[in-house]
Amino acid sequence: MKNLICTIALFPTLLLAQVGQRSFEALVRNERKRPEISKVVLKDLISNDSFEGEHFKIVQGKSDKAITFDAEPAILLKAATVYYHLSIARDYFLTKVKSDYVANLPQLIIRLEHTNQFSELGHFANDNLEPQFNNALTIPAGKGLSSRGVKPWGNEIWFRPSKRIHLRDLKTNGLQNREFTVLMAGFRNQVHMQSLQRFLAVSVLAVTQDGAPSPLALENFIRTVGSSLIMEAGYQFIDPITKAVSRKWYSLDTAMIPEIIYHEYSHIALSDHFVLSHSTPIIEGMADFFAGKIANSPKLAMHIKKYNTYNGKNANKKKDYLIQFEMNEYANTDFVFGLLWELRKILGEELGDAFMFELRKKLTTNSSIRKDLIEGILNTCDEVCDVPFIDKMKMMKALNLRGI
Amino acid sequence: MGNFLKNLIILLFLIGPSAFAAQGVDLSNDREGQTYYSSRRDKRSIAKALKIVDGSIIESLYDETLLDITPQNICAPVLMKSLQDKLRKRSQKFDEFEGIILHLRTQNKFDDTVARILLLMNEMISTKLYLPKKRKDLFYPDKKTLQEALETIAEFERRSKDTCFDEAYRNLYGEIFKFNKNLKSIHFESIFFEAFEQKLISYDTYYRIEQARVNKLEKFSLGLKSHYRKVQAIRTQFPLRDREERSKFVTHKDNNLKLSRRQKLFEQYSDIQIMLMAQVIKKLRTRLEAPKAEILIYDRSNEIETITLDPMERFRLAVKLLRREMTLLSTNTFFAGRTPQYIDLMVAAFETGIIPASELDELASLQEIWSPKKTFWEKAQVWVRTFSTVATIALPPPYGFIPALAVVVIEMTAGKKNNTKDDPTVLF
Repeated sequence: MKNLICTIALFPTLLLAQVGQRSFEALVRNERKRPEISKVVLKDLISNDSFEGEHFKIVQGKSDKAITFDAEPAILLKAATVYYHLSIARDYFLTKVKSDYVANLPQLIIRLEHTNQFSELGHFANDNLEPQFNNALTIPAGKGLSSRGVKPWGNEIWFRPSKRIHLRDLKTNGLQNREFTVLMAGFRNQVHMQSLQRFLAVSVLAVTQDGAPSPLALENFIRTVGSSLIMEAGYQFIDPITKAVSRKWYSLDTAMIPEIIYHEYSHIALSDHFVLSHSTPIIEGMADFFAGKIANSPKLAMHIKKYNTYNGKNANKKKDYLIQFEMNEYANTDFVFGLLWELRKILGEELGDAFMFELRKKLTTNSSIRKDLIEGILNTCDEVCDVPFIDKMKMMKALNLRGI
Repeated sequence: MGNFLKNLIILLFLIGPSAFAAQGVDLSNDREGQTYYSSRRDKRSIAKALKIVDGSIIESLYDETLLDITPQNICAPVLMKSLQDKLRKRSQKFDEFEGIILHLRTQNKFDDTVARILLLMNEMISTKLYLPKKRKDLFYPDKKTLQEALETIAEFERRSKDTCFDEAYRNLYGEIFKFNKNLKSIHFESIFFEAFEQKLISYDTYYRIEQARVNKLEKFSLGLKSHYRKVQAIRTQFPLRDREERSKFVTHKDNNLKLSRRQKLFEQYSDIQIMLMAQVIKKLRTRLEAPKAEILIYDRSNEIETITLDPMERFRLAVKLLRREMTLLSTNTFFAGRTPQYIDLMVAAFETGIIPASELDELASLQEIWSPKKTFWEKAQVWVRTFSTVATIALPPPYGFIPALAVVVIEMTAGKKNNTKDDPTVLF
C-alpha cells in the first residue's frame, strides 16, 4: 500500500521529467555556418506526443492541435527545426537583452504549411483567396468575431509552404538588376572610350610614321570597332541574355531557414513597441538585426540552397541610402539591417545589443529612416552610451558616409 | 590675548608677502599629456643628466630659481643662466643642460613650449664662438643700410637694459631688416662686427648677438614672457574646470612643422586669436548637440513656413557653418587675412577648456568630411587608368576588353562616395 502511494505521488514528476525535453533531428548551422541535419534537444515540452511546449505550439495549417511526433518525416523535421530555433531566439531575448515582455509572453502558436491569407477580422482569410507560398509572417493578435464563430487569437507566426515559382511571376523591386545594369553601362562606356583612344592613337601614327597602317585598314578597323560593336550588342540585349543565363525558378522554405525563424520571433519580441500591422523598412530592419545577432552572423538566409533560391541578406554589404528605401515596397532590402549592424560595431558588442533593444522604444512601425530612425539612434545614445557625444559623432560620421 | 592678536597680525603681515614672493611665477604644465620630447635621443639626454645630478635636486634647484623670477622680469636667458649657475655650483663640469630641461618637462615643471624656449636658450648660450671675425671674410650690405643699421645697434645696449635679451635681439633684427628686406644672415654678421669695431657695442654684447644670430633666434617669435602672458590671459578669461585634465592630442607633431600642435598654437597665434578660435569650436559643439534646427520663412510680415531639418541635415549644417566661420575668421581684424587650420582650432578649444581631451580626436576627425583621405584603391585607380590607356593600344584583339574591365572593376571596388550635394531630397 505504501509503495503504491509512493508510486502515485512520484508518477507525475517522472512523467514531466520525460516530457520536458526530447531529442529530434533538425536543421542547424554548423561552425562554418553551413546547414546540416543534426540531433537537437527540444526543451520545455509539455506534451509527450506532440510539439506543444510551455512557450510554443507548432501546428499545421489552420489546425489548433500540435503536430504529433508520429507525423511524416518532412513535417517532423520542419516542426523540430522551428521549435528548436524559436527556443534559441527566446533565450537570446531573455538572457542577452533581458526582455520582460518576452518573459511574460503567453504560449505562441506557430503554423507550418499554412497557405491562407491573414484577415484582421476572421483570423484566416477565405480559402478561395489566392494561397500564399515561399514566405513567413508574424500576425498580430485579434479579438475574434464571436458572431461568426471566430475565437480570439494571440500573436502567431505563419510559415508558408515552399513552391517553385517562375521568376517572371515574381514581383521584385529590381534593385539588384539595377546594380547589374549600372555595372554594364560603366563597362560599355569604358570600352567605347578605349576604342576611340585606340582609333586616335592609330590615326596619329598613320600621319606621323611612314609605313604605319591607316586607321581604316581592315585589321585596324576590326580591332577598333569590333570590340565596341560586340559590347554594344551585349548591352542592348542585356535583358534577354540575363534571362537566358540566370536562374529561372524561385522557392523558399522559410520553416527550414534558422535566420528566418529568428527574424519572425524578433517581430514578436519587438511587438511591445512595433505594431505588427504591415511590413515597413524599420520593423523589418530591426527584426533582421536581431536575427543576425541570434544567428551571430551578418548574413541571413544565405548558403542554404536546398531550401532557398533567394539571395539572402548581408549586413556587411554597404549600401548607400536611396530615398526609395523609405517606401514599404523596399522594406525587405538590407539597408537598415546593414546600417544597424555597422552602428553596433561602432558602439561595441556589449553595448550594441542593449542599444538596439532600447532603440525600439523611440520608434514605431511607421517611422522613417532618415528622420525618425536617426533621431531615435541619437536619443537612445544620450541614454545608453558611455560617452554620448563621442559615440554620436562616430555614428553620425558613419551615417554621413552612407549618404543619409 | 591682546598681545597674541598683535603677534598674529604681524605674523600674517610677514608671512603674506613672503608667501607671495615664494610663489614667483607658475610655469607648470597643466594641459599636455605625454611630452613631445620623448624620442630615444631625448631619453638618453635625461639619463645622462640624471647620472650626474639626482632628479629631486634638479627639481629643487629649479624651484629655487623660480623664486627670483616675477611676471615682470620673467626671461628665458636669465632663467637658464640662473639654473646653469646653480647646477655648476654643485658640479663644476656639468654641461648636460638639455637633459635637465627635458627632465624638468617630464616632471611637469613646465610645458613643451617652455621646454622649447629653454632648449633654444641653452643651445644659444652654449654656442662657442671665435670673435671678432676678420673683415676680409665678411659680406657687407650697401653703405646706406649699413649706416642705418649701425645707428640702430648703437641704441641696443641702452634699450635692452630692461628687456629680455631674446626679445631685444628680435626687435633689433626686425628693425634692421626693415631697412633692407634683402638682408641675409651673412650681412647681419658684418653689421654686428662693424658695430663692435666702431665700439658701438661691448665685446660681451657682440658675442651674445652673434650667438643669437648663429642660432637663428630671430626665427622663433615666442619668448618666455610672451608665452607666460598668453597662458595667463587665457586662464583668466577661461578658468580651467578640470586642472588635472591632460591631452596627448595637443603634443602630437604638427603635419608641416617640427613642432607639437600646442607649440605651434602658442608660436603662431596670440591669446586673443586663440580665444576667438576656441569660440568657433564652442559653437560647433553646441550645434552638433542641438536637438532641433529649423528654417523659418517669412513673407513681408508673417512667418509662413517652418522647415525642420533632419538629424543628418543638422550635422552637415554644423559642419558647413564651421567651415564658413573658419573662413570668416580670416576676415577678422585680429587675424589679418590668415585662415587658421582646423587642428589649430581644436587645440585652441582644448587650451581654453571648451572641449574636453576625450572629445578632441573625434571632433578632429570631422575634417575627413570635407577633405577625405584617399583609400588604396582610389590611389590605384589613377594608375590603372593610366596603364589601361597604353594597354588599349598595345594589347591585340580579343584582349582589348581587359583594361576596360580592370577600370570598371576598380571603380566599383573604390566605390563612389555618396555625395549628398546631388541628392535633391536633402537641404544640407
